[in-house]
Amino acid sequence: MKTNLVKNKNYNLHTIHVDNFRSCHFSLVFRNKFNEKEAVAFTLLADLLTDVSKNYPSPKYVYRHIDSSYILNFYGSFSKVGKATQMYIICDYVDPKYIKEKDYLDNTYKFIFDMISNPLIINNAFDEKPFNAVKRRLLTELSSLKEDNNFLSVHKALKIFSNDGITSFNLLDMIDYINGITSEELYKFYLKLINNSSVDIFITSSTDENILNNVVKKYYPFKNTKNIKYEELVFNKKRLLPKKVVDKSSYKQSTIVMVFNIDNMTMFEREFVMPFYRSIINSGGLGSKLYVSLREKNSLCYNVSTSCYDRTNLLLINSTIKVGEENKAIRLIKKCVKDMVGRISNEEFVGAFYDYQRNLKGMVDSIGAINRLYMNMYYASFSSYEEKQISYKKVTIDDVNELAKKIHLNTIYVLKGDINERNQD
Amino acid sequence: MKEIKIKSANETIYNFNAPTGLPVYMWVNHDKSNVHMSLVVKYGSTGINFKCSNNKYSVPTGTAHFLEHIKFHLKDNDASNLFYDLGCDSNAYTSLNETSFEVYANDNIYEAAKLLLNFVYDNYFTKKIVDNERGIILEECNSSKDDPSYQFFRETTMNYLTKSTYRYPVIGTEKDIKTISIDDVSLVHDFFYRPENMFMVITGDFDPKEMMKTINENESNRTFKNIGKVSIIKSKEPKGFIKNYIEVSNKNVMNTHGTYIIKALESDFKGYTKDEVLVSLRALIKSNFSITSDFYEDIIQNNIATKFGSSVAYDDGVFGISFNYVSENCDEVVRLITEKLKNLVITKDDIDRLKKNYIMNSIMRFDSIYAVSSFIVGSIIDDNKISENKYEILNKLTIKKINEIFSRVDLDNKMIAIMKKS
Repeated sequence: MKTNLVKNKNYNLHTIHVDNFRSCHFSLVFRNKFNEKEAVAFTLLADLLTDVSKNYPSPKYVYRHIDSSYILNFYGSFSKVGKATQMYIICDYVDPKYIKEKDYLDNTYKFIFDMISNPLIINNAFDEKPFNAVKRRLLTELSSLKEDNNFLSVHKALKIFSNDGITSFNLLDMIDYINGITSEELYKFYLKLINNSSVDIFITSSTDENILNNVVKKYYPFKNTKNIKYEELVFNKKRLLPKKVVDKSSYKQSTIVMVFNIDNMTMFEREFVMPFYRSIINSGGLGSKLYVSLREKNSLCYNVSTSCYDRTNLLLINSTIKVGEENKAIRLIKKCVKDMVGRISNEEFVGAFYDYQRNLKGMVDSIGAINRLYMNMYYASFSSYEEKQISYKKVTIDDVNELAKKIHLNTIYVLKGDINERNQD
Repeated sequence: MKEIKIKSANETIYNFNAPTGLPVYMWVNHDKSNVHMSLVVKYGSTGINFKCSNNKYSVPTGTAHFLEHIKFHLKDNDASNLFYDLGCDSNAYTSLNETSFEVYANDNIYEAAKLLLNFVYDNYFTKKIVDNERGIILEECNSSKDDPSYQFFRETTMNYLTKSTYRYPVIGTEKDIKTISIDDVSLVHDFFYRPENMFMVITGDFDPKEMMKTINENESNRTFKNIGKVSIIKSKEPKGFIKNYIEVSNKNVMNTHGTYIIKALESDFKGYTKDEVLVSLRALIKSNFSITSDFYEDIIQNNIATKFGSSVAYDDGVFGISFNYVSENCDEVVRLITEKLKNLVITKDDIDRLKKNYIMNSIMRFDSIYAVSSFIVGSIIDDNKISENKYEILNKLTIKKINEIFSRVDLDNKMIAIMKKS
């Protein structure tokens, strides 16, 4: 995998050369320090800038163009990564070698940059109709999230875990602000976005890097964006005794969320040991500790999951379980976590090794995964694919034990289901 | 080995029949690093009534899904652990018409192929396994009941289809899950988990000759007792609905959801094939109601709905044209859809865009070993062969033909459903 980085005054261009795909993946990242109001504005902008523009004044024109231009996907999105935020403009298009139409590559890039640099502005404000449509869509999506017991419980657990304003931040807490934001205000945020953000462009394709460099240079529209890096890592306080909160609900199942602090992970642990830990405790399938204990032996749940928020240094285990069995499930989860220190079998470790190997090889079959791999190399200083192929083989059971010792329970949140609801059917 | 050409993407799929009669389809790409294998049983959740010789049988709803779950249990181990030991990942799913067992591998590929075949053919069911799995499946069932959108979809489907077994949830009803016995799952296994009712799909980086040799050797050691012809008994779905209007209330739903469905029977389209009707109706509905349409623009930008989608589906001899929306003014959405349906228009440009889109998706599909596998499985389940029938139809599509097909749809044969917070 040949990669190249060209540093320009206003953006960095990262090209990742691959020959085994028929599509190309483009992502432009506007990167900023985390700020609550900007998080709302950039979420709206990600949608609005890919929905309409001066030259395509309603989504129907955008999608008609996409349908007839061999573009697979064109959309915007926003995410918080530790202390930083990233607003993405994504475009997947057919590799130019399959397309006979003249100026296909040029036209594709012209379209992408035209959409984000020529928004539909009237008197220093976004046009009200598309602005309101995007706002309503976001509000509808957020209220749909309130229907999801799992999502709500994770959100609540993170709020109990940390009140730093970053770790538990969610747009659900910003509904009043979203309702009140005007098209004038959003336009001011747009100006801030295109004048203050750090911009990286990642292109994964078989096209020659010089051709890509030229086409981006030709159409890149912003004069004041930068190419600086932001600190991402967040460290949350530990508790001497875990805090437990129980709420009642009308759901047919109970949801349990347990949040753990992780002490000072080394880069090697963050990148290589943590995937082994997660595989052994849960993600390695039905033979993993949590699945065997909660599902196979006790039939308490259908699904259990473990996530590591590596930039925020926390581990989260959640499951929806049978009403009335909450304490038993918490006991079993605690035991599985405890057993990760000194009670990992060789079979479990070998399984995790294969799991990592399979996932690593799987990455190169997906153009999106290759792109993410390179972004993690650049933003989080993770290893290259070639380095990963060597380093994961150095992980030992002792490394997993040592990481397990750094994991401390902080928060238990239970959203208790209603036994009467359950018995209604 | 036969070669099946996919013209729109310039690709070849290989096919052979193993000694047991099991058809095997392979797409080889040495640029990929992994292999995806699916062993598919042509038996899904809708097969609750079936016959063999002169005998008729019935099993509870959810039996196919229950069987898929307990298949992984072996006498002294679990199949997923054995795949794990080989460095492979395994999974399975049940849908309306098939049950598929899948393996994802980049090591020990040929061993994994043999394990996949053998664990799916053999069975080991005990009362303890069945009872333990029942608890897990009931939790799966309860988690779907906590999802308002899924509940709305279920209530709508139960109202839209009145006799077809397609009306039941794949997982089964809670009442039925509680009654499924070893006898039920064994019966289904004996009748349907047989090479003549299965096929295998392998996609990715492997040696097709080595794979054929491995499968043929494994299959030549297998014998299956002849049980005669087994077939699913289907119920003839009538034209009407249970009710033309239903209101669903849910404690946890936050937005008001609406569904508008027009139902047409396959028999309404004499002279046309199922695919001709599907391709034509999809082209017309997409052109008039999707995000590229004036209708969509009006309804979203004028705040009549915050979300709007349309689709055309075919299930068990029934075509359903559906519109789904989130709106605080569902009556107005219904009025606008009804008005619009009286005056649908499609242009040559619309058809050209659809063709371009089809070619692009066909080319792109071959970037992913999963997408190719899913394309082959879908083709075999729908048409019993791999074909580009829909593309050929799209190429010959005319505005006149689309309008003629749509004229057979009885627009008054519709149902409306609404879900509100209780």
